[in-house]
Amino acid sequence: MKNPYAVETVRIKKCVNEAPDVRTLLLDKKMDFNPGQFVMVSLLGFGESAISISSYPDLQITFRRAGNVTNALFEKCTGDEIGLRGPFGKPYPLNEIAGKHILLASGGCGIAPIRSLLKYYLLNENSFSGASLFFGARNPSMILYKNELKEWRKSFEVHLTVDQANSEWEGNVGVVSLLLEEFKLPANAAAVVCGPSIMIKSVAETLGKKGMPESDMIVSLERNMRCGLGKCGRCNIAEKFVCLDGPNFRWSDIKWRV
Amino acid sequence: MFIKKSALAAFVNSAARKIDFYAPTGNAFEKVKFFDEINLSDKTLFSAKKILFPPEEELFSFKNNETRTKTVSKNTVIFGLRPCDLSAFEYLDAFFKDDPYYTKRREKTILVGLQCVSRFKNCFCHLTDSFYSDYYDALLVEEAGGFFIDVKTDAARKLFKPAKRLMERGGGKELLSRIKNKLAEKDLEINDAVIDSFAKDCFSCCACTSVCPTCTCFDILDKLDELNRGKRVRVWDSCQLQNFTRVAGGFIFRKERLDRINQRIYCKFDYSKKRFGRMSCVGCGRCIDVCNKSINIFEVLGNEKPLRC
Repeated sequence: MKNPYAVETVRIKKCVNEAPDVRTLLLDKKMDFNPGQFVMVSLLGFGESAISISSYPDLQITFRRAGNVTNALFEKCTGDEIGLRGPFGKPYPLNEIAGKHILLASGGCGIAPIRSLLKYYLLNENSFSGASLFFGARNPSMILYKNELKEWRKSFEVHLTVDQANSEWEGNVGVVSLLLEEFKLPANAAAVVCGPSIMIKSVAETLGKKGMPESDMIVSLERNMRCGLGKCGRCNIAEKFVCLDGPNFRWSDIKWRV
Repeated sequence: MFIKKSALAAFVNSAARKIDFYAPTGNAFEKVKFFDEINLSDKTLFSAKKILFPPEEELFSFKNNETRTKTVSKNTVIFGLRPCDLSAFEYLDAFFKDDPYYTKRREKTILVGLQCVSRFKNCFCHLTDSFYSDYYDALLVEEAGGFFIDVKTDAARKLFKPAKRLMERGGGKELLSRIKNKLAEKDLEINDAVIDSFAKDCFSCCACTSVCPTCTCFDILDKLDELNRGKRVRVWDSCQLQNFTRVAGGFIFRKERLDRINQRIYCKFDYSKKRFGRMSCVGCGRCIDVCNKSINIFEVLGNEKPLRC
């Protein structure tokens, strides 16, 4: 029997500072995963943390320093080793959203798994009818993946907004759902949403008003996870475990508990 | 078959010398050496789950980035398990079926049951369909002067081989078949108003989840011996604690006590049914026995009152 708690040591190939307290690590490991899945990152002695995979098909993770493990992880850089388990969780339902216009709405670090899907999209552009990205950050310095935005804009629309603008910011100010209100929803669209639960709720509500069926909205949820195996008992929403059945759910299946 | 009490005692005294022999000693299931230490007439305060799912268990030890895993498996007998406890192990076996630590222990464990003939205080197994369970390797039913014994599996036959010559034909097969004629399973409905009243009483002490034979929630912690050396352990945790669902950044998903009690009640009677096809509550009533506020989990199932005996 394979030990699901065994940790594999993986080297950090590259480390990129995305924003204050947010970092992306490229890991030297071939892993068989799909966009929307996550890994358990270990620093022996500090503990383990569930972190979204933020790229495809290469293995990258993007995280904000927020707790014990991520604080310690922030000390690690190119050449250092970390522990890894995974991948865990169910990926985005790629077959279901194939052929559709995918509307990606993300807030803060919630863009990490969305970027994985975007990279998949760029490799399989022909199997979708289009994409548009909506990204809300707390302030202009918290906009992640700044270097890639230009490249992305060649293939799909990118809409940015910030909660608090500074003197240099000329773009939108306000929450993501405000941006969406002005957006003309293409026919045959599906949404993929990741961010704080208040943002998920308001985005879902806005999209609902625009006529998108709740079963076409895929939302990614955050919970405390210790094992990734549906055993430790803390990430469940009713009988569904976010680590096993999620983290990506159809809004229609889960909205009553978010 | 029938075995006299003195013969069973002789068997236990001899078997307990060679293998880890756990049996009820009053409050808990403990490792015993002699039959005289065993108490077969009471319900234990703690369940037997800790023998296969210890309160703290090493997942692996580490030094720098090197890890070493050791799994423990010793020949073990758990003796004197009530039907509710047998039913609990049936649930745990399904729950932990992919868990190498649990299954390694379980593979070498023999379950010897002890059929109840009446209910203890706070017992509710007539509602959870666990007044009788066939999930045993061997089962004892107390009779005048001794026990009726059903040795069912090969592992149990091997264990009881030395006692075979001490067994006699006969014994209360009829009694067992009468017990097997279980009370009809009822369609249970959860009354949410009762859960609301529990939330006013409960103070999240977690006694209920500690004694429960099917509570499995755990935390994973790293314990350091030196800066570069230590072990990763799995320790019991409880859904009743506020920080159980806290994420980095401080948000707590089940912050209110009501949410946490809801979680426990629905986990026992509803979620487990959806995930494992059976409820995880086995009606042992231990959570009622230990509750400081006399919260009775079965009150949520309508007007069912405990059957006193």
